[in-house]
Amino acid sequence: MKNEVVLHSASYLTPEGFGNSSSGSRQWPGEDGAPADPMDLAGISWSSLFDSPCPRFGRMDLLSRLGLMAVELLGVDFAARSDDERRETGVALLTPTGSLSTDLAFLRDISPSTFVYTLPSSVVGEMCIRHRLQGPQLCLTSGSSGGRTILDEAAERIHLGEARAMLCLACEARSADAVEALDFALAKPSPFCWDVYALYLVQGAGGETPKEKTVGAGVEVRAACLDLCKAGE
Amino acid sequence: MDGTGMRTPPAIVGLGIVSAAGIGADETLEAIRANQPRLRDVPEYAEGPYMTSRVGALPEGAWERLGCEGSSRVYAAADAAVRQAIAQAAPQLKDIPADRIGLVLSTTKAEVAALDAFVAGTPASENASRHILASEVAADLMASNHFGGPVQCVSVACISGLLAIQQGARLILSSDVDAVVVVGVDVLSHFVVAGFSTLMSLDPNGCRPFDKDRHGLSLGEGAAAMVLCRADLASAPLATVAGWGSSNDANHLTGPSRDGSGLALALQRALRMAGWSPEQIEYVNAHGTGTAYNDRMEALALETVFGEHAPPVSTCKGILGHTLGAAGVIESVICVLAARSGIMPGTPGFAVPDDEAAPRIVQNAQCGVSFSRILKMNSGFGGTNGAIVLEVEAREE
Repeated sequence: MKNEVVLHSASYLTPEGFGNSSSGSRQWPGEDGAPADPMDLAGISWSSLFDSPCPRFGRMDLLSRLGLMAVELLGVDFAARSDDERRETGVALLTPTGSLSTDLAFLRDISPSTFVYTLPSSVVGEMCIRHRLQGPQLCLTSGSSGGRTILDEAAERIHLGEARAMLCLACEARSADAVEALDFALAKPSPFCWDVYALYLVQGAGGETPKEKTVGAGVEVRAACLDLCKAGE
Repeated sequence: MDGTGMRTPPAIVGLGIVSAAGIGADETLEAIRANQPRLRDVPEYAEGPYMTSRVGALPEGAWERLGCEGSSRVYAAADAAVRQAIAQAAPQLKDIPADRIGLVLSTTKAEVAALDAFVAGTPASENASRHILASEVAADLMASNHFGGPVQCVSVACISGLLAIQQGARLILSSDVDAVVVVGVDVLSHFVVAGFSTLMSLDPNGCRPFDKDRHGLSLGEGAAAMVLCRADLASAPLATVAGWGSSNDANHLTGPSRDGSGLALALQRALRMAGWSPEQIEYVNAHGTGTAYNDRMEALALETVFGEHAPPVSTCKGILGHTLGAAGVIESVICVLAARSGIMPGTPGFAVPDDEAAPRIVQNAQCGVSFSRILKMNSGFGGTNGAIVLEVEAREE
């Protein structure tokens, strides 16, 4: 029998604003720490959103920064979870452009501190280190195909008893030279969505918030995320 | 499947491989049997920001044999491996509709050489440029083989290949496809060789996995493919994918955990899914990169899982180098080829065991050995660990 999967919480970061399923949506304040460019999430600082420290933030690449901020916005207190639960909590990430921005930076500086972030899955590692998560790992660099989404992948790990909980993210790191490189690669304007969405999925009826929803098949992270955040308003 | 014991493990019905050992099963088995490093000095990496020019490059003339002249090397290598695997699987694929055949691609850097060309402002061919994106490589492989099923691209550092095999098996078990081609590919490039050089993680003399005096890894390149299909459609299975697991050390971005506990978790998860006890494993194909920390961590993980009854262990890195996102598929294909030929692969470069942690290393390839239950494991940057367990079918005489 399959384990039931529940969407516990959701969060997002877009050029227009940010939000989560517990406190709804907010626009960027337009003050220090907000995106300098309306299409650019790179300008967001950790301290503009959170009181808790993140010592590694300054050395991370943009993809890792965005992913970590989206997970922090979920408001899940992983430190309060048991060791067993964190050992059985995994991460599933969708990032079609992956580490492209960092790859370009490495080709210009050939430095070890940049090279270590030239893998799309570096952000998965950063999340696991920060929150002590040791569950199943997945990073896909292709969009959904055949109706199976990254949310389906995350839910399946819980359905089949491979994980008790999963972080599920769709995350891209936009930079001007990455967009230019994609245009070069595809010989047309790049079709990618640069927003960041995060979901926290748990096994069974968690009963922790009234906004929880069970997971249906074939749903994209973005739709599930916005749906849950809207319910939180 | 409830986390223990898969009811109908997917079957492996076709294999393909391209590496420093050569093109195809015969050349690969010859290298495994000879147990000699196929690393060589490549002039392209003799000058510049590189620690060494000694790499596991494809043999001289191989790219020409693959028909790759100035176009996407990633595609050429992957396509060759896929064609070999499909040719072997053909009798079992002929009645499966195209939209029931999917593809899972694993790669860490795809055609990153074209990105280098973009930065340098030098020309790159149209397909090489598109193949900066793994999804474009996968789309072209699907189109050239007229498949219409789901496509996925996996990129989780050096466990990408094992996760791709997992994903392929999942697609079959969830009834999304009847068959799936899993292909792993990564090729040598300025980007990759310079990157590992900046980390000072290469051994200029060639890697010596599990040896007491090991000094680092050797980079390699290649592609491998395996066709998985529903067990009830497999008339001539080569092996089955009996279980898998993955984990994270949650410890350090580039260094493995010192105690091997993260990798041990992945191994235990794979065994649990297969419903096997550790004693049932007859051979372990390790990651075995030749770096001080990785090899010791693996030894400790094996000790945790197997205790004093450790199965024989070897690694392909001394022959082929580390093929990164392709490694999991390449090394799994070698496991199946070798087991079906009665060859237990050796570990060239290994001579003296580590004082602190020494698994039961197979130093020289052993011929005429019968074994079928195999554990394959890899670990990578980001603290990731992956494992699969394979049950190899005996070859019909």
